Amino acid sequence: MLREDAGKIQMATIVENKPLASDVYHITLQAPRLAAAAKPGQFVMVRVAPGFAPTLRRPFSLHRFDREAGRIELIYQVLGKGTALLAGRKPGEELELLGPLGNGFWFSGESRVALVGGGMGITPLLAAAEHLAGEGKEVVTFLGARTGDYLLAAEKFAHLGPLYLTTDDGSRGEKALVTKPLAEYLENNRPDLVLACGPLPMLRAVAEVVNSRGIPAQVSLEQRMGCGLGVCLGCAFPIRAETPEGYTYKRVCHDGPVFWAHEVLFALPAETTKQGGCSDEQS
Amino acid sequence: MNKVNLQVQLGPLKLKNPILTMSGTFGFGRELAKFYDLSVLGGIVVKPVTPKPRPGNPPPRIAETAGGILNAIGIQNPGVDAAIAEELPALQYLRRQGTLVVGSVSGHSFADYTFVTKKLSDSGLVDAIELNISCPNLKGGGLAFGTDPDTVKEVVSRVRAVCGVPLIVKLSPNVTDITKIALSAAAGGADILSLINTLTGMAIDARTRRPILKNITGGLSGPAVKPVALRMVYEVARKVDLPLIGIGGIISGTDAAEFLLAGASAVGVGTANLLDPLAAPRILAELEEYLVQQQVESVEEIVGGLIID
Repeated sequence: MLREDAGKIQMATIVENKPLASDVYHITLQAPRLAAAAKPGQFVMVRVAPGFAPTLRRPFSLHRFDREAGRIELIYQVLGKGTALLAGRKPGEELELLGPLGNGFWFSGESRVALVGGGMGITPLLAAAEHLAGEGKEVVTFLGARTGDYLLAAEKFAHLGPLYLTTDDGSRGEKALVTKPLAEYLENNRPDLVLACGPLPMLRAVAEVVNSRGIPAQVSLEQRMGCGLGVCLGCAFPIRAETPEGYTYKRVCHDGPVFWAHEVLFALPAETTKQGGCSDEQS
Repeated sequence: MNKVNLQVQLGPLKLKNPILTMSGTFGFGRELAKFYDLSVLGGIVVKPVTPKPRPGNPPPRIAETAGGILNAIGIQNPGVDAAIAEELPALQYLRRQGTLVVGSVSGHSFADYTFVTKKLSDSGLVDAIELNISCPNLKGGGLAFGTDPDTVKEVVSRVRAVCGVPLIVKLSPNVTDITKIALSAAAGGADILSLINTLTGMAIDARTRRPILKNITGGLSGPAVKPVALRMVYEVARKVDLPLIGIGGIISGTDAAEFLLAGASAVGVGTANLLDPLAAPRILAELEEYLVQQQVESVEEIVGGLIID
């Protein structure tokens, strides 16, 4: 009766669950099947407590995975009840996972890749950086955050290639937006591909910087998510398309979370955002 | 384990078991068919369709609440023509295995409802049609049709006239007396009633002082609505002589049994599909276990079997 994707539902043992900053945690899970199947840029949905309270699983991008050790690592920020529950889970306890999910970043022989991460958006880039460096590719990383404490895992990127850091308050790296060193770098360098993850205004700024130079970029999007399975259509994001509206809603969980930057509609046309987006004339 | 007869008669429809997956929580079956063999189900109700493609509402569309979720998807769908050309043909193998494929119809006007119903019915690709006159996320449509008894009778009778397959009418809980709406649907010619659709609700982020949903309000579903749904199924079963599909927060076999006891002949699994991709077959197995424990030979023995001392 069960089919292949049922294997995406799996129990994982917590190896370690420790704070990185006041409200940010790093969790390591023994999850061999997931580690074996994972690709950089994919995500996993975690049931933070047994049963259906909280109702939904929580989606987290894969920060790192180690096929040999059968482990995955996630970084999460405590934002509500679900992540607070997760922060309270102890090593040795089990968590139900659903994954790997989503498309992940895709590569086609690029030799130089620039990574751009903002805040929690830094997390999926480490898996991509490690994969690319392992393939002998040149990796250049640009990370930005509110303060130095949130430049998560910055030291791990430093081993893999040039690293540029920025913070809003200047507590670490340059006091600037992450797009400043990126734009400066692009004056004299041309990566084959840019991968970006972070808050929407940052992604939008990255898209402007790279699109104007004709450099292909993939962005990993975030959206309030329901099932993670592509069924509920909750995590919709407008992507350019040949429709009367000029866009179509794609599912971040199933069609993404990674999209080409030039296809993402970062802001909807004004009239469709008011009154529930119902553009049908009433009859 | 003794075998229990799981077949149920739902008005004109024969189901191999009483578990249906509900519209909007199952897409067109493609995604969950990768998790399990859908032919174990009694039937599937596919995504509601409208005359033309609809992009759906701007995000955020979903919010978690205590024991439930709130959604305002806005009937995003490829339109009836694409559903007939691209989605429903891929589900015909289920019908050959005795699993019902039910189309779902949404719209903004009488003309929309009859147009889509006729197309789906004439396609020969569905065993039945569910009329969604209770979606809370369509402005000037959906719910507006489902909350006034006279309008309900009118839309159901117009749709009935063009519908060549059994007609299921999905009722809204967002009314003062659901039995009045149920009676109107029956008078209009419904063969089966399904209830309940989502309860209109709202979620606010106090930190940002903003509604979580872009649509501001949405439809509440999940375990939180089960007591309301059970009460409504119980009330309608006593007043209306039509078979019922009980829906609302079913996530276990005993939840399903409770709806059957309240008077439903079959049950709809909705939100649970989103929480657990294997929910529907698990609920079926748990229901079967319950029936064995209750020492009944057929699931139909417990339909409406609520004991009031």
